[in-house]
Amino acid sequence: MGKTNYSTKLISCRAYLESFFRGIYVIRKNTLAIVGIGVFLSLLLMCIFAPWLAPYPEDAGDAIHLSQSFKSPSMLHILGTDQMGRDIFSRITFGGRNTLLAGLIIPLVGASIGCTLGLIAGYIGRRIGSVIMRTTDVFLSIPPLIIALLVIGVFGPSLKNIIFALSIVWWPWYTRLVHGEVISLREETFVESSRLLGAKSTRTMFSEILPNAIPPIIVKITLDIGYAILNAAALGFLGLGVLPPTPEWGLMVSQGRLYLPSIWWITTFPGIFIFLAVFSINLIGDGLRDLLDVEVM
Amino acid sequence: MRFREYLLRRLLLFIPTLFCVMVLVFILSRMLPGDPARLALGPDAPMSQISALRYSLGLDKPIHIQFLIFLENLLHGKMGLSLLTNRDVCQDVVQFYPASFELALVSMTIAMAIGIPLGIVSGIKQNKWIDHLSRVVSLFGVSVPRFWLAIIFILVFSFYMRIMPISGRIGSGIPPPAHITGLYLIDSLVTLNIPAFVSSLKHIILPAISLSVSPLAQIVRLLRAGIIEHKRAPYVMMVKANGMPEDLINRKYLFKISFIPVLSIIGLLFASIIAMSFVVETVFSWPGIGRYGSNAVLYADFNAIVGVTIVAGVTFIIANFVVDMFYGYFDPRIRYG
Amino acid sequence: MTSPILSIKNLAVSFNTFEGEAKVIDHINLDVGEKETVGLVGETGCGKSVTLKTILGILPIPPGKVTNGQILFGDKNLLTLPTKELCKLRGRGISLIPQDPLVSLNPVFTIKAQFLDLAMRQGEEHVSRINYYRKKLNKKQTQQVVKKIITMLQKVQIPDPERVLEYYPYQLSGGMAQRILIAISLIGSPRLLLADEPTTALDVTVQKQIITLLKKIAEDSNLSMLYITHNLGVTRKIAKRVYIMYAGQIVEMGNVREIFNEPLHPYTSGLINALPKITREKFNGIDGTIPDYVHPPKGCRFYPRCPSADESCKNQRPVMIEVKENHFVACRLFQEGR
Repeated sequence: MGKTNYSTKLISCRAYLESFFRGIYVIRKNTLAIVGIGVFLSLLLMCIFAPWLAPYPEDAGDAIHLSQSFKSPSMLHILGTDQMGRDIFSRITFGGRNTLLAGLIIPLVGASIGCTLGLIAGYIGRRIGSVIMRTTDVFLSIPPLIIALLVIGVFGPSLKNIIFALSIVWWPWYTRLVHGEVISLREETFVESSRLLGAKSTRTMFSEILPNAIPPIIVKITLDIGYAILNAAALGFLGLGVLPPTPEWGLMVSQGRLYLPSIWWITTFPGIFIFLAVFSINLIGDGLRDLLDVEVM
Repeated sequence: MRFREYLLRRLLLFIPTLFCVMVLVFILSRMLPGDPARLALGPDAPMSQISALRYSLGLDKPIHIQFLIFLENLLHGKMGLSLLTNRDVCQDVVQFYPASFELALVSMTIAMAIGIPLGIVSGIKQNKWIDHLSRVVSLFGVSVPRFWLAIIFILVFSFYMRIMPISGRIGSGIPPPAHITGLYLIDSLVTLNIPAFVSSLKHIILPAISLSVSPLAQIVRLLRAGIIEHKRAPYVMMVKANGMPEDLINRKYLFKISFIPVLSIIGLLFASIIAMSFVVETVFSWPGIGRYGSNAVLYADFNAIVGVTIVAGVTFIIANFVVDMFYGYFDPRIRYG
Repeated sequence: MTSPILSIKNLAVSFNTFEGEAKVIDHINLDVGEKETVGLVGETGCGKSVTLKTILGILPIPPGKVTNGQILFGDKNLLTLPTKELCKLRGRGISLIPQDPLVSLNPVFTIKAQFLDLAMRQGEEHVSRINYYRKKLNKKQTQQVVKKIITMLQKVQIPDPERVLEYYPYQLSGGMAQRILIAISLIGSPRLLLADEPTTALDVTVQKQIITLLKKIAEDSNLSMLYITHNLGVTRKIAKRVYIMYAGQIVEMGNVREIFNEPLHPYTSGLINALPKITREKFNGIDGTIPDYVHPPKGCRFYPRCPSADESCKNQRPVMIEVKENHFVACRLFQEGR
């Protein structure tokens, strides 16, 4: 008996290693995903080290150098300056902190809420479960951005409220996924046997059921980071996010609009950075989707 | 006919969903900080006036009665005064909604007209150059910020090339067409008002394209995945092996079965266009519900926010209902299942 | 043996995979005579279906690749035939009865839609949209084809064919679906029928009916048939001659009865021992699994599982030898005598 056990373990270990190498092979073949990882990491590092990287760190705030205003891109200001004479590149490095932070937090919070609710709905109670799922249906039946606007309308514009509003509308998809997974797995033998062996239901949920739902969740979170960045930037663009002297990519795009068409750089560059961030995260998401072989919208 | 039963069942599901959306909106709207009556009358109003208004608005009644009053007002087309326009929100919605609807309709048409052929070709010619191209296009489509794309469009086509108008629904010198549906394109066509048609077409193109990139990308992606999944399926192999011409298989058999999942997200996409139009309408000063809504949020015009939410939610539910109908028509398994 | 209608000569097919080039079909020879039913037997994954797909030219390429050989249908080599000619042959010269009837009909079309399009358009390489609708809207022509289809459905013993035509695939039972698929494969009056495990997915009683039906049809319309299965017992009922395939190689060929009574190749004996019998209680399988196709054994591919293997099997590939009249085997055991 012990021997069989050992050999099964060995086999599963080998299978695990094999799938790991296969994964590396798939990723290596997927140059685009590598490029995505590279670009996104550099953007992230750029924002983390903004105080050291930015040529004019003080321009991230409400500095005013009127003599320097509306300078087009040059060696001195590689991406030009805005109406207050502040260096656009410096503001982009600091602004990315807000935009990317929102983009990273929102899907994570949404996924945690969603997965927990899905597990509860699927595993614990029929009554609680159906209440949760009906609520999920309702939330799924209104566009998330609309609810987010309603929430921001109620609590007032600020970055914190954007993150809060988008986080609480982001969960329904995860709830539905995890719930579906739990329902289909609940009756499977390995879950049944762990229950028969006396494992607590919470233990069964986290050690037996959740791991099976992880690949689609990972892919969805990755892709959602992109959507969250776009939505947060859009709300920022409408003026519902951070308040003016603080930089944020969406807000910077909107501030530059007043000076179009001659002063094109204030608007163009922050937009390119949003695009780069979302594009690279989508490349990663696509690569992961191929790697984990799941289909996620 | 079983299809009718299916429709009826969908319709019965439609009503509770609508009800739940109303509850959700109501709850959120009652979470407003402060007293709605005081907000409406301003800080200087005497106490007696406030309590009179509270009484007339039904704010002194228990919450479920308040909800019923809310529903009743809604049925009578009363959503409360808007601070921005000083009219009832319902009137504003009726005025602004057709513009947004028209915009969404045109964007969806563009997205489907380009996305469907591109998705099919991309799936059939997997890993050929056209496939790579369409994947890049669709990746671009989901990654580009719409508001920024809209601005770049204005910059390029309106400022530099001067071939497209910057903002609005119709040229300033041209009177809008007679009001029939509220959709300028249709109204001007019906009344044979050619200048109005040309002008409104020119005005709608840029905003519609900026709104269509994301749905287009999603259509391409989903259709491509479907085609790739089904083109090796046993039922495709069977007809192919027994001599059905390949172009007929692709055009009819492969297309229909791969299109079903696309159909199911078209309703979602349509509704999400209404939501996305907040930013794009702002950029193009498009006089629609999105611009109205974003102004409402900016100026804390609560009645207007609630009104816009309701309209968007209802649009979403109706769009999904319509799609469900088509879905049942397309996929017999759903209809009878 | 009559002159062959289908003759596979030295065919080799491989697939490009993550691990490397998988040599799935390793130089096989196979003949199907005029009006003859031939069985091709082997385990799941031994390359039977790939052989079929290669014959019909529907093997996905890439990852698949034909590396060697010829497939002669009459005097035409199917592997080098231009697409237009191949399209003329599919359904009209050679047709296919697929493996799993319930998933082999398109779930979102009625039987009528699929059957009619196939019957009206068989043999053409391209169909333009205009041409398609012009022909379809021609009531008289359509009516004729529908009549033909109904006759064919009656021939495969479908009750109430007019009503069945309006059904969607999920409304059918497995046996019904398979009968319809047989009718579909017969509509172009082909000369050769390729049957890809047509009874595996069905109940035992339905299996028997289908086999009887196929046998009757083959006899009535003078058809040749290549019948693929993993069940040696089934071949006894339908075929006269049988090829045994192991891991992409043909290991034995001969008269069914003879092979049953006196199997020569150790693999064939293993297969026969594995058949359930009323008189025997113990069930004897063959140990081990099909070898790795990327790095197959250098000599005989059965060598690692063979009870009578020795060192020489390891490196030397055995060739087909006629041990008795019309009974060939590829095994060292019978080569030594020569």
